[in-house]
Amino acid sequence: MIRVVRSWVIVLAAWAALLGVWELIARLNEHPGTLWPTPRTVFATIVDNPQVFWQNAEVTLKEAALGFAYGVVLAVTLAVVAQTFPLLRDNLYRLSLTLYSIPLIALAPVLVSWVGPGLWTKVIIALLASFFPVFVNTTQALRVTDQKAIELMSVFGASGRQTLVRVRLPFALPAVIASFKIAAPAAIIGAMLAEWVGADRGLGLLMLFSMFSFKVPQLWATLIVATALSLAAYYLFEFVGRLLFPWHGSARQTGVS
Amino acid sequence: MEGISKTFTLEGKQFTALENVSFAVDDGEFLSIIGPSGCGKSTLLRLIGDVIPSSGGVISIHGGLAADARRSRRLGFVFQDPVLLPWRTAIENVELPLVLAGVGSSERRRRARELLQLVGLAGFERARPNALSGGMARRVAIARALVLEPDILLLDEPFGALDEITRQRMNGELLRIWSETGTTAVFVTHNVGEAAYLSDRVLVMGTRPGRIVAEVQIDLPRPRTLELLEDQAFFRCTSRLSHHLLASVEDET
Repeated sequence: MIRVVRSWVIVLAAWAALLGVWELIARLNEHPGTLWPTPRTVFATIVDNPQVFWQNAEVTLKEAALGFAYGVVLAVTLAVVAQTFPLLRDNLYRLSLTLYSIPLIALAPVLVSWVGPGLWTKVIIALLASFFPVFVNTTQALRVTDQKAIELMSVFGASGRQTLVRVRLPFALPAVIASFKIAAPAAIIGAMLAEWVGADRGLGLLMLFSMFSFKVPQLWATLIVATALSLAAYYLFEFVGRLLFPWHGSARQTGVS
Repeated sequence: MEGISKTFTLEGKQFTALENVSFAVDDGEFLSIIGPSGCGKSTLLRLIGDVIPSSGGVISIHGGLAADARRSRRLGFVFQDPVLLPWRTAIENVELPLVLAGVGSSERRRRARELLQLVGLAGFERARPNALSGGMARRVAIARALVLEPDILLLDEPFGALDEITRQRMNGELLRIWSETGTTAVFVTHNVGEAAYLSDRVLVMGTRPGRIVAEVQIDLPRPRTLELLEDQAFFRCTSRLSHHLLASVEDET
C-alpha cells in the first residue's frame, strides 16, 4: 500500500515538475506567452471551446478506428495464412515489411490522387500504420505456440484447423491484443497525418490550421488532445488484455510449462 | 478381446536413438520402461503414440498402425508436464479430446464429470489450471487422457516433477484408476521403486544406442498398497531392477 502511494506521489511530482518547467519557459521567453503559451492558456483554450476539439477528434477517431479495424482483420488473416502455408510465410513477411517501409507521408498524396481526399485516404493510411505491428506479433505468436500443446493436440487426433482454432489462436491472443496497444495509437497518428494532405475536419487539419493562423495555444491544445487520445487507445487495450487473460503470465508457471 | 501385439524394429539414421527395440504388450497389462536419462525411453513412448515418426520398424496396435490408433483416438497420452490449456477450466480441459472428436456438449460434460470424479477431483470442475496444485493438474491430465476410453494409456514420467510424498500418492491413485478402467498402461520412468510398485512387467533400457537390456517380471500381489513398499519381496524386485540398470550403464564405461 505504501509503495502504491509512493509511486503515485512520484508520478504527480513528475507531472508537477513538467508543468512548472513549461510555465517557466513560457514566462522567461523573449515573447512571453506567445511562442510558448503557458499551461493555463492552453488548457483554457480547451475548456473555453471544447466543441472545436471534440468535433475534430470525432472525425479523426472514426478514421483511425476504421483503419485500425481493417488493419487488424487483414493482419490476423494474413498471419493465419502465413502460419498455414509456411512457403508463403517469408514472402508475406517481406511484402508487409516493404509496405511498412513506404513513408506514409509520401504515400498520402498518392492515395489522394487515387481515391480522393475523402474518408478512405485516411482509413487506408491508418490501416497501413496499424497493420504491421499486429501482423508481426501475430505471426510470431502463432509460430511459438507451446510445442507440448501442439503434441497434445496431435495425440488426440486433432486436425490442423482444430489445432489452429483451439490452441494456436488462443495462445497467440494475448500477444495480438498487446500489439493493439501499439497499433491503435499508430492508427490515430496515421489518420492525423493523412489529414494534412487534405481534409474537411480532423485533429490533423486543426493542427495545420492553427499553425498557419498563428493560433499557438490552439496548436498546443490540439497536441494535448491528440496525445490524450493515443494514451486512451493504449490503455483501452491494456485494460482489455487484463480483463480477457487473467491467466496470462501467472498461468505459464503452473498451467502450461 | 484379442491380445495387443506391438513390435518395434527401429534402425535409426546417423544418430541412433533406438536400435532394434522389440516387445509386445498384453491387453490390460501395466508395463513400465525404465532406463538412464538419454536412453530414448521417452522417444519410444512418443513413437508408440505416433507423436514423432519412426525411422524404421513397425508399431502395431490391435493389428493396426500406431498412426491409425492415434487418428481414431484410441490412445491416451500423459506428458511429463500436465500441459493444460490455461484458458480452459479443469472440466473443459478434460472435455478437450471429446470436443475434437465431435462429441455433443451434454454427453461431453457428463463423461468429463465422471472422469474428474474417478481421479478424485469432484468439486474442482470450474477451477482454472493456475489455481491447481501440481498433483491436481496431473490428475486432470490423466482424466483427459482417459476420457476417450483409450485402448492404451501412455505415461511419460507423469509424476517426475512432484515431491516424493505426492508422487507416491499419485502412484497409488494411478493403480486404482488403472484397475477400475481396465486399460493397458505403458509407463516411462527412471525411478526403480515406482516401476516395481506399479508394473506387471518392467523393461530395462540401456543407452547408446537405446535398446532393451532386460525384461523383469514383477510378481507382487495385487491390489498393491503402500505397505508393500516395506516388504522384502518388493526390495528383491527393486534390487533386481537396479542391478540391471547399473549393468546397462557399466556396459558403456
